[in-house]
This record gives sequence, structure tokens and C-alpha cells, in this order.
Amino acid sequence: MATSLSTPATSSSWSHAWLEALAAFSHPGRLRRGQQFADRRRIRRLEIRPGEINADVRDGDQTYHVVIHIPVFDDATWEAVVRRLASQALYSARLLAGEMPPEVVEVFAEVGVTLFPVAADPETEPLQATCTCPDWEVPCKHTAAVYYLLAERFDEDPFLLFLVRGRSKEQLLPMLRRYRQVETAEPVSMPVPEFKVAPLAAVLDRYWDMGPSAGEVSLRITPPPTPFPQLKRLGPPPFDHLDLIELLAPIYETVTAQAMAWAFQNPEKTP
Amino acid sequence: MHVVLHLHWRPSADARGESTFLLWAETRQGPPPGRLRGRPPERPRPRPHPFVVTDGAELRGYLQAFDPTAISGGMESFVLIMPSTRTGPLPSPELVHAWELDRSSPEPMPWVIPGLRLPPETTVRLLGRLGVHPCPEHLSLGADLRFWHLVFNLVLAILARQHYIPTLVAGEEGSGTTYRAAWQPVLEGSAFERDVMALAAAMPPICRALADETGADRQCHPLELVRTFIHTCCDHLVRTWGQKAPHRLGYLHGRSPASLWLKTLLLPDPTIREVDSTFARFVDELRAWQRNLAPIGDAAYAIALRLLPPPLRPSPNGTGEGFYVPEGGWQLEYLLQARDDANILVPAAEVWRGPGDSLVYQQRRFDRPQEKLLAGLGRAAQIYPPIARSLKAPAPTAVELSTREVYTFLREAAPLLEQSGFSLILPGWWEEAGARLGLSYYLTPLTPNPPDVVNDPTGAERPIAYRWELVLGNIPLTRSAFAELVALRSPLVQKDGRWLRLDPEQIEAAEHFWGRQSFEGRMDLRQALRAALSLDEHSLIAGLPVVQKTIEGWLPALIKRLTEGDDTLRQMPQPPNLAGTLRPYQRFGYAWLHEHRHLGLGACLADDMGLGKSIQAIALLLREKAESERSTDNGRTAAKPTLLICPTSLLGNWRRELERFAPSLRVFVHYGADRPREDTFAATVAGYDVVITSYTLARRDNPLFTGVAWSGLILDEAQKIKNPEIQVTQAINRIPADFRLALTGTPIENQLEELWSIFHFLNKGYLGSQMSFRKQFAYPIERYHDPVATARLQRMVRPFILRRLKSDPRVIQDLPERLEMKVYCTLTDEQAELYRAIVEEALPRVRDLHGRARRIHIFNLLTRLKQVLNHPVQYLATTPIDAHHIPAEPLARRSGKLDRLVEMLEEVLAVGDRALIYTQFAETGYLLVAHLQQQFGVPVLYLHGGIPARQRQQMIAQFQENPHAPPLFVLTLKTGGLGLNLTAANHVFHYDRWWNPAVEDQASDRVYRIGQIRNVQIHKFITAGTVEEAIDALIERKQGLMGAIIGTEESWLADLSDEELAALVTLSRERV
Repeated sequence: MATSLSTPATSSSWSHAWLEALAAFSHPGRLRRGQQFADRRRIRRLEIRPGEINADVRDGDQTYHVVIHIPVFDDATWEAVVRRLASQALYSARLLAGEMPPEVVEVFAEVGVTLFPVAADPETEPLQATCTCPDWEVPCKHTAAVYYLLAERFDEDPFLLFLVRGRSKEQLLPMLRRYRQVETAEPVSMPVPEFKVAPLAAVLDRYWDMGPSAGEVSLRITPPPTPFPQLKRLGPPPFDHLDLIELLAPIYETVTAQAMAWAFQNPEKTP
Repeated sequence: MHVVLHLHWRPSADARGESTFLLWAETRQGPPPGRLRGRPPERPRPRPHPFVVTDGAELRGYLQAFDPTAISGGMESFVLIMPSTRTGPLPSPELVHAWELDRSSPEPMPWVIPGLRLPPETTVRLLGRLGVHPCPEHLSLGADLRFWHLVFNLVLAILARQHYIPTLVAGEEGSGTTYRAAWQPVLEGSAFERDVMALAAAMPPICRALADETGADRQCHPLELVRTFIHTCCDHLVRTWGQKAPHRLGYLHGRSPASLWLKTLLLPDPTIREVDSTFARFVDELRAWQRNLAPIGDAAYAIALRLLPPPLRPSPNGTGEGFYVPEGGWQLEYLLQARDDANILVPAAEVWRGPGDSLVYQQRRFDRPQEKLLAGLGRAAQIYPPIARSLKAPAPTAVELSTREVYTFLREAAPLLEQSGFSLILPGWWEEAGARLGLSYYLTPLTPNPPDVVNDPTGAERPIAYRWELVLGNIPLTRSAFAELVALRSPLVQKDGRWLRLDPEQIEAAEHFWGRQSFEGRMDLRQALRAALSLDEHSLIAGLPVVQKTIEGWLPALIKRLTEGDDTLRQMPQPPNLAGTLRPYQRFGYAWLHEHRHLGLGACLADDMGLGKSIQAIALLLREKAESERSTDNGRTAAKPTLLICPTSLLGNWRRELERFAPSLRVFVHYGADRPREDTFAATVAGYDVVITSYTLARRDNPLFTGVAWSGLILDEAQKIKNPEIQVTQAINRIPADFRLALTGTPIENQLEELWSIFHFLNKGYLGSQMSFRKQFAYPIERYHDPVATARLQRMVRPFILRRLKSDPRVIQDLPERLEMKVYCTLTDEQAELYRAIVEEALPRVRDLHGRARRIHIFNLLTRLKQVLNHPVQYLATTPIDAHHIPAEPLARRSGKLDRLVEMLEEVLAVGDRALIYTQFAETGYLLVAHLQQQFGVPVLYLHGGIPARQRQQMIAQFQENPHAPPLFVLTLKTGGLGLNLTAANHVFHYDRWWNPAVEDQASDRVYRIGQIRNVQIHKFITAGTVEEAIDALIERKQGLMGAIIGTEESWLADLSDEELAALVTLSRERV
């Protein structure tokens, strides 16, 4: 189905893609019921393992057990996927930085599988869910609640999607590195210039003195050469499709004008 | 009343705590701090600070002196560790007091200080006003307050440059987590980071002296204090100012966490409470996103981006005339660059070829190069999206860019990438001024020689031609060539193998320029000098940079002569009829003034006190007279007098200097009740060469002076016209003269605008209008130490100001190590009246007396006269004057000597020198101390017979050794005249004369002895026309016989005949 293949626009849309995929083969009203029922306090346990998700859901006095089976991909499929991921520097760069590029969905499609369960999958059931509750409707509200909670978890850590399909992040990244021969990324720590502070007792003779380095500070209070430099370095935010620069530009411009006005104000005439 | 204001910044210790600004003040009101007995405790408990303002209403009053609408919080006591001795905490150097304090080996001790809590809005308004509004006279600013003011200026720069982002800060409130929407400065990787480090290193220790309530040091870190201060001020100002912006945050729909966050950014209370799990996830997302600002690369190497232009091709039309735009073919290459050697560059191809874990290239080891390069490129693609195109390949090494893309890359992305830690290797032409549109400027003199207004008054009009040209890459553009260029519609063009850039705003400016500016014309010398010296590579004319300046003919040599001097000036002989010999540097100064005189330019001679400004001016006057006589002989012009304006206290000094060095000049002093009025003034002055008057009379008799055509107008102590708004300045600017000369030892005392005012007098219009001078020079230089504006102003004023310092090596070799000067002061009317009355009453009575009685009466007469000359208050006082009995009436403008002393000490203090002031009367000493402390706002030391020996030693040691010691030291001749070593001073003032010069010399020797490394100046004060002058003359005449005739005491005076005595004490009619 085309909908389940749609590429999430941002990483926060993993939940959308997941729920959209489920909507294709679930009763829409029943699925929505889960949304109201999905509450972290109600779901006592959520275990995600390759091919299987286990959850305990409390409903009134009762606790029901939900099991969801999703088929895992075989080793050959995973090899093909990882080789393709490794072939594009962009994917590797993002995945190694702990980010899931939305385009990975396309990579799975290229090797002939779908990352999200699809009803039209000819060989296997897309997904089997069982619940210990007496409700015979599928999905029951307990199962639907687990679906919603999963959606949240996938947004937090999209690598859980890979885990469900048979490969954990810890297994996947070394594979990727093997292909790309790269190691894990970690934040750079730049050398920090040393800053020595003398104890007060040692500086009593210059207790009131400004140090000579104050003279090194020379300021040109001017607008930036290119507007909004730090917003541009940040790049577009990953939430709400916001154009932050357009939204905040009037504020930045006003602040610049105000700072200049303060810096170059004339003294008031003293009577 | 005197108070020193302080500001303490106390950031919160943890997420729950509160950050506070505390205003507190030292005051000298109240009893002097008492002395502690016994041994100080090992771990002292905090005790109340003995001389701080404890009343909140009083502190509020000081705050409102800067900002009448200031809102403040309540009072709160806090503890600071301060250097302390047996008399308690030492006061800050700004506090003026007369306490006798123990200063020996201070120890850190905690003191409880009551402070007024200031909300951020009040703090920023206070700091914003400090640099702008003059500080009220009764207040001084402590080092801590001045320091935070500096940091606040950095905050303004950060905000103007938009170096901040919106963010969320986690906090705690009650049991749950809350968040605060905040505006946060981004300093890492920018030039501001260096400023923050420099400020933190310069922090006065008092700013980090906070202790807890037990007195234990809180160990505040300077860097942390500066950072939190900047964060707090930035957040507050953006929030406040942002509310005024025409933003649309209020229209944001939805209840998503992002909307909630954005809407809260401008709320007065930015706290977000009742957060749910969705919001917690949003915070994680936000944080991950903001990690994009962290620097990329590795500690040992950077990710480098190198831009290579397409191969050069000849212009297609072959003529070399046209400009050519290549479509594409630019390569942006990816490399690794070693941090310790920028020349070691690893191409990306090498990185992909080698193993992933580490790579060795030119003996350098690069750890995990593939992964770092990949992560870097991922980040670079976010800032500059075209890079993403290359990342679809398995091993990207470069991206190909179009010409238009390259322009955006260079202009917008490159500076951002640089801040993110990328190393950018860009073609050199990009930053070259010559590769952009600009203006070329030509100044061409039309005469073979510089103008000479003395010998050819008409030839000085507009002798210099100017011309502007629009250029691109040194190629002058005609209007049609420019139009063709614009029609190419490309921001980067090529010509003759060179790349040139066309910024859209520059094209617009150029189009404007064609429409408005006059491209050529003529100007006078002053305008030409202004243009030649003010235009530099930072100048923008109508938005276009001045890339080239061509100054032709005699103009460059003239600028050099006026700025640095040349042999013409160095070899000019002194005028023949000068009665005295000019020292070499004085001869140069005279020649330099003469040069300005002939060019028709005003000049300012600003030599240090004691270098002889007046003799250089007198030499010019002699030359002026000789030249005008010559031209009068030729029948061209009639000789015109020169007007010299000086402070009243200096009238006598000038008359005597002129008589001594230029006896051939006819001098008239316009002063006193019998001075000529409107009907006789012009006729009177026509017969003189020099007319001297005071600033007061220049204003009061202004119509008299504006009605005469003066040859020259000379201002002595020209800082008197530093304020352009006051009447005397405006009156003097109305007086017409062929040349203008300003003499001053302190061309700038407080503000740069004083310089403008002097230039407005000398060369009207040269420094622009007062308004434009403020914006262009005064504010950028004074408030923000702008190096560009500073250099430009220095360059512009240097040809017009000659300033030599005593320490100047060119001067020091010509200067005697010990320089003695007599300072003639003017009697005030009040002094003259008292003086006359005393003489008239005493002389007849002495006439009939003999022997011991006569001696006592003469002695009394002289004592009373000396008291009047020192200060009328001293003579009139009904009770003895001492530290606790200073008459409350004002002391200024009542004693010629006191006024002159203040004027001279201003110069001493302005150059950071120290001075001893000797008097024979203890009462005079108390008056001097009181007046000088009040005038200069600095403490003044006083050594007299009543001070115990141990304290004397301490006072002397302090003056000699402590860099913060008061710079002025008053001593009585008897107590301080012998045996002491006071070489920290290099000026000695003898406020009154001792009849025996040997005693004076001994006192002067306190300064001029082994250990003195500077030239010493000794100033002997003499009130002109009085007994002081008569006795001085007597001493001079009888110098050789002194021991025999004068002896060591004033006893010889009793042996004078009645006639001799009358001649000695009677007020001379010409008392100035």
C-alpha cells in the first residue's frame, strides 16, 4: 500500500507512518479507542524483542496480556539493506550520529520488503496480535493502546523498528561500520583554554583592580553581516514544520535595532 | 557627602536558587572606623561592615540619580570577603575620606553588607545609562560596577550581532520538573568567546569575593560569573525588546509543545509548568536539534572545505574589455586539516581509501577519519544544502557548484560553517577590497606650492581639485560599462583572468552614486586634509568602500610635515629678537606653529606642563610682528594686534613672560575696573602688538573683541572651552582672527567631545558637526574602544595637535633634570581690598616704632598679608582652622593662588603624576586639603606637626610604595621640609614663599634626590604686584649676599627703613 511506504517528513513522523500502516488493516474506530486508552500508567510492561512485543495492560481490576508478532527479516535481507545503507554517505552519516534518516524506508523497498507491516504482504500475515481479554473484536482496546504506545516509542528511538524486524542498533551499526569501515561517532571535545583563578588571599593587593586584559576587549556594535547567523547554523527544527526564521525574524531585527539604539543613545540634557 | 556605588552579581547556586543583583555603597558619613585590639580570630565570623549605607531609601536615591523611574526590591544582607586590617575593611580607592587607617598587611575577612536587590530590568537600565549620562558629582563608581558595565557592553554587541538562540532550560519547582523558555547567547567558536575570556581574566577580585553566612569563601569562578551575567542580561533584554517586535507568535495554532515553547519565550514569566510526557519528548528533540551548534571535527584535526574556481578561460569576445561569467565548474573539496599545521591536508579520497579506524598521513595520525568526515559533511549539508547532493555517492570527495551557488556559499554559508568548526580554504580575492565595487579618490593640488595666507591672502581659496571614480578590480567604470556589468546579472564575474564580486547592495549603492554625487570639484586645504586623512579602507561613501586614494602634488609632503615634522621645520632658526634660547624641541614647536599660521590652519600646542608652551607661542608672536612690519613697510596691510585669552589667575604670568622673553612687543592687559570701554577700546588696542584678557572678560566684553580685526587669537588653558554649550565658548568662537592657536596641557580631560570643541574653535567643520562627531567617534571610541574609529580620529587630529611629554626621549635630552618655575598669580578683587586695608592701617603705626616692638609689628603685618594672599578665608576666620573646623563657605575664585593651583594640579593628575604642596601655615594646609579633595574627588594626604611620628612613617611609606596612594601630598614646610624621601612625586609646589631660598631648596630636595628617575618640576607661587613679588625680586638681586644680608629668619625685615618697607608691601598699581 502506498500509504505505508510514504516517507516520514521528519523523524517525529515515525509514529504517523506506523499508525498509518496499522490503519490500513484495522478498524479505524477501534484503533482510535486505543489512543484514549494509551497511558503509560495503564501499560505495566512493554518488551520489544525481535519479532515479538509483549505488554501487560491494566483495565479496571484486571490485567491483560498482549502479544504482538511481526515477522523478522532474514539475514540475507538485512545484508542487502545494510549494504545499500552503507553505499550512501548521507545515510551512514546520519545513522552513525544516532539519527534515523526518513529515507531508509525507501531502502527497504528497494530490496523488496517493507519496514512497516503491510496488509498486502502476500506471504505472511502482516502482524498477529492476541490479547487475554474477553473482547473478540480486533484489535481490542488493549492491543490498540499498545499500538499507540509503540508509536511513541518509535519516535523516541526509531532503531526499535529495526529491532522488531530482527536487528538491534547494537547489531546494525557494527555491520554498517564493517561496510563503511567507520567507528561510532561521539561529540568532539575541543581543547579548553586554561583559566587559572588565584585564591582571594593572594590578590588582596589588587582587590579593586581591573586586570589589563580588559583593554583587549574592543567592541564594534553593529548588525550581523548575514542576518540570523545562529538560527541558520541550527537549521530547520525537527518539529511542527515550523519556519523558525520567518517566525522569529521580527524579534531578532527589533532586538538588533534596540541594542544599537542603547549603545549609541545621546545623553539627556541636564537642566 | 561622598559615596561609592557597588554592584554585586550573585548567580543562583543551583536550579532552584535565585539569581540576584545587589546594589550597595560605601559612605564616608559616620564616625571613622575604630581600632581592634588583641589578636584577630583564626576563623573570623562575619561582622557588619562599618562604613556602608544601611538605609534602603538612601540607596534607592542613588539609583534614581541615574534612572528616576528605577524600581528596586527589598534589602538583603550578604557577606563579602575583603582585605582588612586592625581598623576593619579597607575602603575602595574611590572613597574620599580623611580617616587615619591601618594599612599594614591586610588579611581576608568576611563583612556583612546590606544591599538593595535590583530586578534585571533595573540593572540593565542602570548599566545602559552609566556610559551615557554623566555620573552625579557626589557619587563614584566602584571597580565592580565599572566591570559589570564593560560586560554589559559586550551583551549589547552580542545582541546586535544576533548571536543568540531560543532554548529551554530545565528547572525545579516544588516536586516536579519545570522548564523555562529562554534566550541564550551562543559564544562558542565566535570572536565573543575571546572577549568573555579577557573579561573574566580582568575581573576585579571584589566581584568574586562572596562568602556564605559563616564567612566561608563561596569560591565563585570568574568565567562562570561572567557567563551567567551575560546569559541573564541577554535573556531579559530579548524578552523585553522582543515584546515590542511585530511578531506573530500569538497567532500560532495548536497546543503542541513547540507552540507552547515559542509563545512562552516572550512572556514575563517564562516558566512552563504541568509538563506531560509529550513535552518531555519535545525537550529531547529540541536538545538533539540544538546540538547542531556544537563544533564539528576532532581535537587533532578539522574538517576543511576548499573552494576551487573553474579553470580560467580568456574572455570570449577576446578584446579583454568585457566581463565574463562562467556558468559552473566550481569544486568544493572535502579534506581533513591538521590543527597544528594548516598545510597538512588529507583529501577525502585518501580518507575513503584508507582504513576506518585511523589514518597516517605525512607523519600525522588521524583517528576515525571516515566517521568524522561523514558526520561533518552531514552537518555541513544542513547549513549549506547543495553539499547533500554529493552525499548520495558512497565516497564523496567534492561537490560541483554553479557560480550563483558559490556566491551564496561564500557570502552566507562560509561564516556559519567557520563558527561550526569547519576550516574554510577560500580564494584570496573573495576578501580583497580590490575585487569589489569601490570608489577611487583623487586629490590634485592646482598650485605649485601650498597656500600661504600671510603673503598671499587670496591664493588660499580652493586650490585643490578632487575627483571620484567608480572602480571594479582597479578598472574604472564608465556609466555604460557599469550598465553592461549589471546586465550580466551575476554576482561573480571574471575579467582578464581575475575574479570580481558584485554584491547586490553594492550595485544599488553605485546606482545611487551615479545619480547623486558630484564627481569632481575643488576644495580648500582644510577640506582636502579632512578628506585625505579621514578616508581609509573602512570608509563607506554612499555605501561603497573607498578602495583607492591618490594624493598628488605637494599634499603628501605637507601631511608628513604637519604630522611627523621634516627638516624644514627642524632647521628653522628661532626669531632673532627673542630674549632667551629655545630648546631644540621648542624651536620645532615654534616652526610647526609658524607653518600652520602660513597655511591658514588652526593649531593646538598640547605639550606637558613645564615644557614651555608659552615661550613657543611668544616666539610665534615675535615672528608675526616682524612679518607684519615687513608687509606694512610694503604698504600692504596695517599691523593688527593678537588677542591672548587666559584664565584670570594667569594674566600676571603672561605679562611677565612677555616682558622677559619679548621686550620688543607692546603688551596691553585688558583687565580691572578701569579697563577701556566701547568708545576707547579699538583705539587703545590698535597701538599694541598683544592684548591679554581673561576668559571671563572675553565673554563679558565680547562685543568689544568681536569688533576688532585680530591678527591672531590665542587661547591659553584652552580646555576652558571644552564645553561647546557654555557661553564663554560661544563668545570666543565669535571673535574673528586670521589665525587661531590653542595652548593646553590637557586637550582631553574627560570626554572626546572636548577635543571636538577645541577643533571647532581652531578649524571649524574639520571634525564635522557635533552630532556626527558623537556617532562617528565619541561613542564608538569612549564606550566600546572601537579600534577603527580610534585610528581614524588619531590620523585626523595629528597634523593639528603637537603634544610632547616630559618622558618623550626627544624632549628629555633637552630638558634639565630639575626645572624651577615662578608662577605669577592674579590677586582677586576681594584679596586686593583686604590687602590694601591692612597696609593702610599698619604702615602709619609702624612708622613710630623702634626695636623689638617695630619688629613684632612688621612681622604681624607680613603674616596678615601672607594669610590674605593664601586665602581670604584664612585671614577672616574667627576661630582657628583645623581638620574639624573648615569654614563652610566656598573657597574657589577668591584666591588667585588657589585657583591657579587647581588648574595646574588638573594637568598633574591627568598624566598620572604626583605632587607635593608645601605651605608654611598649618591652616592653609587644612584649607588646601579640603578644597583639593572636593575639587578632584581623590583623597589628599596631609603631613603637619600634629601627626604622631609612627603615623608619619606610614603616610610616607604609603605615598612612596602604594600604587593606589593619594597622588597629592600637602606638607608644612617645618615638618615636611627635611629628611624625608618622597621621590614618588615629581612636582613640588611652593604655595607660599619662605624668605630664605635655602629652606625652599631643602624642601624641593625631598623629590629631587637619589631614586628619582623623572624630571622634577618646582613651581614657586607668587602673587603678582604684592609683597610676594617684591621680596622675590629682593632675593633674586641679593642671591649672592643672601647669607650675610637675609640670614635665616625674617628678622632682617625689621631693619628696613620706613620707605623700604612701604615699597615692599604697597600694592603695585599694575597688579597683573
